[in-house]
Amino acid sequence: MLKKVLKHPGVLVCLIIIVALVVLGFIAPLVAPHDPLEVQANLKYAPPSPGYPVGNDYLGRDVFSRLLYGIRPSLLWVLLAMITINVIALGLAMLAGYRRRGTDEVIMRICDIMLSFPSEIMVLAIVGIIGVGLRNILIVIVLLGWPWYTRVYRSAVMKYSDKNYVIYSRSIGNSMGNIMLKELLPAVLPEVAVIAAGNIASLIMSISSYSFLGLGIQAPEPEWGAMLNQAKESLALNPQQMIAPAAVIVGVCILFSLFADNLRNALDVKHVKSGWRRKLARYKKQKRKEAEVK
Amino acid sequence: MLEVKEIRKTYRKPGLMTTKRKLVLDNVSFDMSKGECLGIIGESGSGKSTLGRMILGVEKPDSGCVLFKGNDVQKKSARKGMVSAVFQDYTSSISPSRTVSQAIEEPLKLVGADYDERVIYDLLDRVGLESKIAGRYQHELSGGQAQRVCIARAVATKPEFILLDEAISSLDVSIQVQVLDLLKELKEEMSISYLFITHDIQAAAYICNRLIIFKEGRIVEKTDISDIGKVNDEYSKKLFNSVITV
Repeated sequence: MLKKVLKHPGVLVCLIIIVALVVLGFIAPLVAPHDPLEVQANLKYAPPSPGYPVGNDYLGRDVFSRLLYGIRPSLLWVLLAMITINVIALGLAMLAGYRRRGTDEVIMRICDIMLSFPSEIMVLAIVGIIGVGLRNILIVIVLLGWPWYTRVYRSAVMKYSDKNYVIYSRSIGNSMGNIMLKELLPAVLPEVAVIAAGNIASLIMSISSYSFLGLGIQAPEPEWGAMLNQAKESLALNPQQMIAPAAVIVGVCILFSLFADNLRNALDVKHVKSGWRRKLARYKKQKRKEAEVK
Repeated sequence: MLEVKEIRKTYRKPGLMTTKRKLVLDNVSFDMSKGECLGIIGESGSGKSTLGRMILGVEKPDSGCVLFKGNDVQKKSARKGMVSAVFQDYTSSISPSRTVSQAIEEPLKLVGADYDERVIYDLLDRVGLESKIAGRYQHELSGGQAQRVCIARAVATKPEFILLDEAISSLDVSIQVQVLDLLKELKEEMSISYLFITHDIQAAAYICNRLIIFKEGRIVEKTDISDIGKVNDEYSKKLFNSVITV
């Protein structure tokens, strides 16, 4: 399946950019031209210059370096949170959707209870108890995030667990784990991949907005949402301060949306030509050429 | 070989407050011997397919049991490699993410059989398909081809029992006869027992040794295929008389 996905040009391009961003986040200390925390009063609100490609902020810190350092909290940790949420949700959804009856009831009622609390208020309440900070925000997001995904994935699993090929697999004596891994997982993975990749954008936005509210990462550490927050202080006099962090956030969100779209197309079996169709196309092309020659 | 003992199954009726249950199978008992082909005939909604799912051990009866060679079919070990099935809806019988050869490999892998490509090509050849089809996906097959692949998959492990749940009902008439002939051949070759669930009396009469007439979850009558003209029950008579003869 991985091979098939990587053959799709759209997926490949998006994946290369995402991997590049992730790597940049890891090696930010090596590639950043300046220390993101270095204050230079004489460069306050300086426009872009050769040494500072996107200018300086209200303390004269290099915005470009801050953006690079911001990849780690804004992108890497969000990815990790998303993966954690999805692993939990997919596991529970498979159990609920395949076992049905009691298991399903228990898992779904827990989800109902979790979903009945408005999530923004829950975030504020839990962060109020365990304290502000990126780590706590991420823990809260995972804690509150899985029920919604579990519900969505469960209905996908249910759709497939009644299919004849799953019933066949059960009747010949396959174990539950085997059926989940070999029948249900490949069937629901396209949907899961698309939902997860599509929601990464909104998760990045929400992490950024929690930082914007001052709940997430704390000053002076760089984070895209926090940078936006600081830029808004000088909105009237220096609106250009907003451009760089906003563009990066929007850009990454678009990137993940495109990735989700392409992934969906790549995982759809009906879009992939298996060998014989390609051979047939080649054969027809050859015939056409021969006809032209004649 | 296969014993079905006093199976009863009810489903809850829809509705929030109701505790009423619909009786789907009522005291169904019969048995089958090795190499036999038993047909179960009944109209739509008579509980035939539910019975099929219980025999496959996929669903649990409320009471009663199904024994395969003396073991309860609810246990996976009692079915592994010995029981197989072909269903009516061929479009969902093969996983869309699998190629034909991967689909046929599935039961072989499960029983840990030693096999290579040639085994799969032989199986495809056995059901009258060319080996070039092995790399195709389900959506690239026609209905007849898909159903043949399902049959090839079902016989791959040389099981002793195959459940055919309306296996030919969604095929063209001309292909129906081909598939029935194929099933007959395979049966003689590998001495497989079939449980042939269908509403098509003619097809059942063509392949089965014995028939069970099923109505509203109950067995109305059991008859040998040679005594098909001598049925006693009113419903059976009506059923046999309703066959369109060209």
